Amino acid sequence: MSETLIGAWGIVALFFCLVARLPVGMALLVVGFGGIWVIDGQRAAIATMTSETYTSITAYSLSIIPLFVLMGNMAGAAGYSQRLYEAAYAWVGRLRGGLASSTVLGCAAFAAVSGSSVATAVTIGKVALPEMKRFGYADGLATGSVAAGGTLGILIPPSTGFVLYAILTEESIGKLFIAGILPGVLLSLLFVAVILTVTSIRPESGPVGPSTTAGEKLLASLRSLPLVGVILASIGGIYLGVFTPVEAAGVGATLVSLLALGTGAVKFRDVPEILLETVTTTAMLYLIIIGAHVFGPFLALTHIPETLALQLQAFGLGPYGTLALILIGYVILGMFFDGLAMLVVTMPVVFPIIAGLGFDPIWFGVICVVVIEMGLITPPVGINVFVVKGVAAGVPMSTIFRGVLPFWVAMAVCLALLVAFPQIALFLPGQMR
Amino acid sequence: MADGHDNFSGAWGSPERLLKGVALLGGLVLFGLVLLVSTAVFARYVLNQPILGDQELVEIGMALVVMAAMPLTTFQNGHIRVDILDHRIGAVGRFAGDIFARVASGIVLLLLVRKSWDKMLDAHEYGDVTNMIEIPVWIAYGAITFGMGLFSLVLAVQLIGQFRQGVADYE
Repeated sequence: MSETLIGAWGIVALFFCLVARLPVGMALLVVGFGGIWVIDGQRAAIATMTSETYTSITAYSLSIIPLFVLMGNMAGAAGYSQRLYEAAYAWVGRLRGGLASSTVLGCAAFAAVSGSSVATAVTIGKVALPEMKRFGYADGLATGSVAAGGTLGILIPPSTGFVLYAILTEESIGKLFIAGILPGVLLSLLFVAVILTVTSIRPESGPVGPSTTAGEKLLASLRSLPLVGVILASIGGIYLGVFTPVEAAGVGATLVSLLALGTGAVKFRDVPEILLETVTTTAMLYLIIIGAHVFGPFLALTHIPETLALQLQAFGLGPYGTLALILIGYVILGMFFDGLAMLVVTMPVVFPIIAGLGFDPIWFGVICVVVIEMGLITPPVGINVFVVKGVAAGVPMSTIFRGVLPFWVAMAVCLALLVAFPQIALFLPGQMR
Repeated sequence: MADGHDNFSGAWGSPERLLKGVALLGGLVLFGLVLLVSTAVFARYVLNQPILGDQELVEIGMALVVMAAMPLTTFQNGHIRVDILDHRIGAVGRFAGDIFARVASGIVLLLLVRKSWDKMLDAHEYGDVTNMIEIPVWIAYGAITFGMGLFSLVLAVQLIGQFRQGVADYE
């Protein structure tokens, strides 16, 4: 059996394992291990698996994951999401659909302490959904803005999406983080534009909220200031080259913890629960990373990436045609797959192709994350939609998916803009020291 | 998800507490690492006195954090799965899938555990240490042996529970 054929069987086996309910990381590990065994023998397979596990769990750059997860969990438990939401509301609440816009902006701000879309949707959703219900917002708009706004969690740094991409492609985590900022701002503004459009067509779907005085605006902004300070210190520190990303995560987690515990926003007896949540999320991500580190070498042994790249070249689609094909594939896969899982499974094949076509790897990382965001809200498996459903139990799934649709279009526009103007992603990283 | 966690939270309450305790130890190590990283930054910029080997402490510490939490995450079914076809394959399919998943994972993990155990003994015998501050490397291999060993034990417990409950539990 040729190595490519073994590789093809490996991919079939991977899908079988996923259907058979193996966790994604475990499926990658089992198939990667089995594949290396078939090609290079048992000794090599066991040695690769053990050394890759060791390298994964002792990689310094990866320690950024639990540090940022802890920072996000601490901020969530302290109720800082509420403050960010209120500050956003003080400024845009008077607009039509103002509560929905505040939701999006609150998500964008919380995304700057959280690396997870699900966490962002949950923490802001818990605050924003009851408010929107109180003011008679249409269910679709309310839930849609939370589900879509939450996806900003992985675009605006810190981001687990960027960390995984960086590990899979050996690109700089710091540069990827910084590259996510402007696209994140752009997408947030596009979401607000969606809300303004929807509410101008159907004003009753998003009534204007009560006005706030200048004093209230100031107070709400002041109350969000400490967290904004932490965000600026940690992300700004990466940009200015003061910190490595790991150090930024450590400093950010320390500052948020001091703030939350010092002001009594988080009680000491709540700390064990926060730590448990943090380490289990960490273990979940690490199993995927370990699996990817064993599956990657197997795929490399099979030469499947090169073979596929040659095949794609033979189609004669040109760089942008090939890119379009890959992105369409991702959008479709994203409907069914968990976004991070999709990234891990496909990147060993896709990344060499993209790099070979001459696209910028940092830019493609941003593109990938936006596509993953789209997958988070598309049926049938849109995780963020399920999350919102968990908070807004009374709203039917179909209503949420309908409400999300205009935001999905905004993401597609964002993607198109990024392809047309790569500088949106690349300008800031280019300025880094 | 009609498996794992729900089944055991009653009858297997105490194993979960034990696993939580182990994971919490990992959490405390993590908290220590957070403080270490910040202190190192402070020491470098303010005191002009870098902490020697902070990076190595983080590396070995992370091995402890990850491996301490791995068994609990498995026990709580906290790992990401692709559950899109779950309802298509029916209760029997899900039941059979879980048997396959747990047995296959268990076998691979046991091979990993045996090898990391050997590596741990080797590293201990030869006195392998990290470059700067000479932290023994066997600690990280020991963490893998312990964490993945407990992981496979959790799978075994889940498998036994699965057979005791039967297919009916998957309806």
